[in-house]
Amino acid sequence: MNNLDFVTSDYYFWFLPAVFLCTFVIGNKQRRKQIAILLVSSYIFFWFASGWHILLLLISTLVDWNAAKNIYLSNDSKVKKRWLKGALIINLGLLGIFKYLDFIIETWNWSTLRITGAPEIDTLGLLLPVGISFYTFQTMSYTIDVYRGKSEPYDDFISFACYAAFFPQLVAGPIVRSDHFRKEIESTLTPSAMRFRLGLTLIVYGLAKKLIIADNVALHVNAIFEDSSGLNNIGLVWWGALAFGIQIYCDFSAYTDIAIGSAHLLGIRLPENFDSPYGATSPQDFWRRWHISLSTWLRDYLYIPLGGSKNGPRVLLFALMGTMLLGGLWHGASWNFVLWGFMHGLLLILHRTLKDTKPVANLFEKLPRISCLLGWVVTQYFVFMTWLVFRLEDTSLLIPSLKTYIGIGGHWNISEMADILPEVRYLTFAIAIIFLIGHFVSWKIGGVKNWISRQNSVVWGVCIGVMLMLTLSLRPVETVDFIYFRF
Amino acid sequence: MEIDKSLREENVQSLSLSISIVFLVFILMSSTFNSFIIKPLLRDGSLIVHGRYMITFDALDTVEADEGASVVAIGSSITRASIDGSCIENFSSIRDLEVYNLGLSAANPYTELMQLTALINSNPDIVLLEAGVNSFWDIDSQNRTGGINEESYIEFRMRLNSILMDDSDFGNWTEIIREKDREFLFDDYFSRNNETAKYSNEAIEELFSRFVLDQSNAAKTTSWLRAPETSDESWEDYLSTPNYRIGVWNNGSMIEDWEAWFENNMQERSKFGEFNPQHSGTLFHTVMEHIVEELTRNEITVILIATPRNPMVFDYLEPGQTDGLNSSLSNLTISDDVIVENMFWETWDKDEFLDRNHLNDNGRQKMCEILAPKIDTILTGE
Repeated sequence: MNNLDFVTSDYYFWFLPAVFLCTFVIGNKQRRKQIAILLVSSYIFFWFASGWHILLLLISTLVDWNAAKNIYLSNDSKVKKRWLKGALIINLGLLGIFKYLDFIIETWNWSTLRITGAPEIDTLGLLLPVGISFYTFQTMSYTIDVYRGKSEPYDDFISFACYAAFFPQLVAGPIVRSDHFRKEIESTLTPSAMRFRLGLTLIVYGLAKKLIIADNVALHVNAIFEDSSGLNNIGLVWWGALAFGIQIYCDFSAYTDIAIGSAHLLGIRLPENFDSPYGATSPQDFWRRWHISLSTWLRDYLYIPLGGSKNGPRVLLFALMGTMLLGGLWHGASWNFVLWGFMHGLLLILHRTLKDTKPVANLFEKLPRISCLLGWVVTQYFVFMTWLVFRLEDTSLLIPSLKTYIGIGGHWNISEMADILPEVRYLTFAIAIIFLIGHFVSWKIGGVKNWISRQNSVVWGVCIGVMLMLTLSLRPVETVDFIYFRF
Repeated sequence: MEIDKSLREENVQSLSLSISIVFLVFILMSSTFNSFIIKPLLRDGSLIVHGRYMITFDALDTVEADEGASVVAIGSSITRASIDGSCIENFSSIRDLEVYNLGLSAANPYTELMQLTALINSNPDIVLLEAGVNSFWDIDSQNRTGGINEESYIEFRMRLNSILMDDSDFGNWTEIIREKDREFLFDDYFSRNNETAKYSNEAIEELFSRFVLDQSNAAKTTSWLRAPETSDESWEDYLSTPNYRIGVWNNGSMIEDWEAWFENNMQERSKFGEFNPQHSGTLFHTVMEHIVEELTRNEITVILIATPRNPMVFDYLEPGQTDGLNSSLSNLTISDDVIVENMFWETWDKDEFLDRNHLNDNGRQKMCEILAPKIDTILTGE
């Protein structure tokens, strides 16, 4: 095994079955052994995914385990605060060094070069540890919850370490709260037939989304944004924004589906991370449906501490913008992510401001369906515009692309589109259309995957067999890495 | 404890039914998709330039079903251009003789090794094995001419052959396959299926183009790049007499153009592997020895054919440059069942060639008149 992730065959043919069989054979009566197996397998998974960076995970685990214990045991608020600060400094310090230090140095170099002409500082060239943003937020939330008295520390280290390192969600979430995980490992870790089937459904459904939709659409996205010559073509930029929106949703939600599915096989329920985000009718609605575990984390540990919505409009604006800027920066050490967060912050502020104005309120009251439709169109127009910012890390291409997206200075040229897009294009367009229809249906019926998992053995078998066949047939030759692995 | 036990039993029962259906549907659908969509599109040149690369194993099935005397010609495009099966059948005194020309563009002994088990199982009476100057060079140390990347070609052919093979087509020839090429041999259903699936997206794109835009990448039905389906009426005729390539230097090109081409290109090309056969010890020698041994061990007569070359080629070859051919052929003559037809040293007329290597209609006719009596002699034992 060289590399291990959710699109490698080793994961499905060796790793997951082995972990499942071990926990299944041991049985619920020896739950501590089952948890220990989950922990060991999580470390093995992480070792193959990220090598020596496992040390950072161990440091985070030990720091938060000790901090939470000491916070809980101490009666002195100063001591509690000291432990909390210490844990946050170490966690954020590791995140800062490995994720943001080179970015800070590059920004420093850029600005000093322009202002003083000073010589550059060499970047450290540190590799971003896989999953660091996710497990750091997860372990930090544990310590903060214990500090706030909302949660009690874990009784044993193995359970806590398992919470910090649980392999299905370790690398790209969903970010799980400690109480949720504790409840899960305290109940049965042997899945029923129904849950086993639900787990398989989610895994196959996730693989189909990733390999059929995300990876095929990615070929078009890469062709458009890696060849900047087409960025003044309105058709290409619109298709690029739409295609990237489809890619990132299918890529990330696929990871979540596989993570939740794998966890189901091991008897653990993980929280949902997506709820048909492209059906959102307002920016606020979008953030209730997109990367739910991050948005609720940001709400609980950043937005509310920054003042939230109950301290007047100025504080609200500050809290909203601050949260979204940091949320953007969480995604990656690059200015385009900050700008992406800023744009979403702006959209949320505009929405907050406009929705309470009389004309808008009247419109929603008198014509609820039309205003909902209008809200959907406007929201999605801007959401897909922000995906352009998210995708284009080369800031010199950003402004021309945004101008083209809104129709300033752009032109339509179908033959240019044909030249730039890859040879397989009708299939990709068809896949995108099928995705959009499926997304709408899913939004209406509350999840296609849930519907499939409720069917009897024959219908379920046919659905999964067809999905599996299509997945293995329609995936492109080269698999694209999960986008959120970078974060 | 008992509740736990019954839960597990119930789990296993319902899950095994569900999972069995998944496998059934998966295998049924993927086999149907591969057989009825992908393979025909590979064959008609929509997905690969040269649909003929798809025929080998189907052709050998046809040979196997043939109850009369059969002769199979194996080799490169030189074989393809040299053998007119129908002509040989007409010239032969044997009534039910069938001659199959399975020559493939750019093929070398190593790429044709994969069909050895299937070839033996098809039980032909004679195999016409191409054994020319291009059959004994060293791919590990010499370069090939004509802009073909030999390693990429080997990978392409091995991958494509693999998806056409079944388990019974594997044999002890796999031991000769180089370590680095073993990953291109797919010896189980799932890896073969996986390899075939790599053409799926292009296949569906082609279908979209055909049905929506009325456009197609398929080669024309008369093109030398296209191979018919086994169900087509033309299939058996195609195996005897494939549609030959016409005029490499454009149709009806003047002889002066030929001379210009030779002058501009042959000096360099004569240095490449295909004009520099080694005496022994190369991968191709090992492969040829193995093929000849296995065929003769299975009582199949082998005619090693070193085809003639355009006489203009010899102006560019150094004395002794192609001597490796003689010793190689001599080493392969291991029994009376191995017959050598070395025409390389014969001076054929340049009007009998399409280009520097390949025969044209005149050349094929001459080859036919040479081979037919020899085949008769072998088959009748007279």
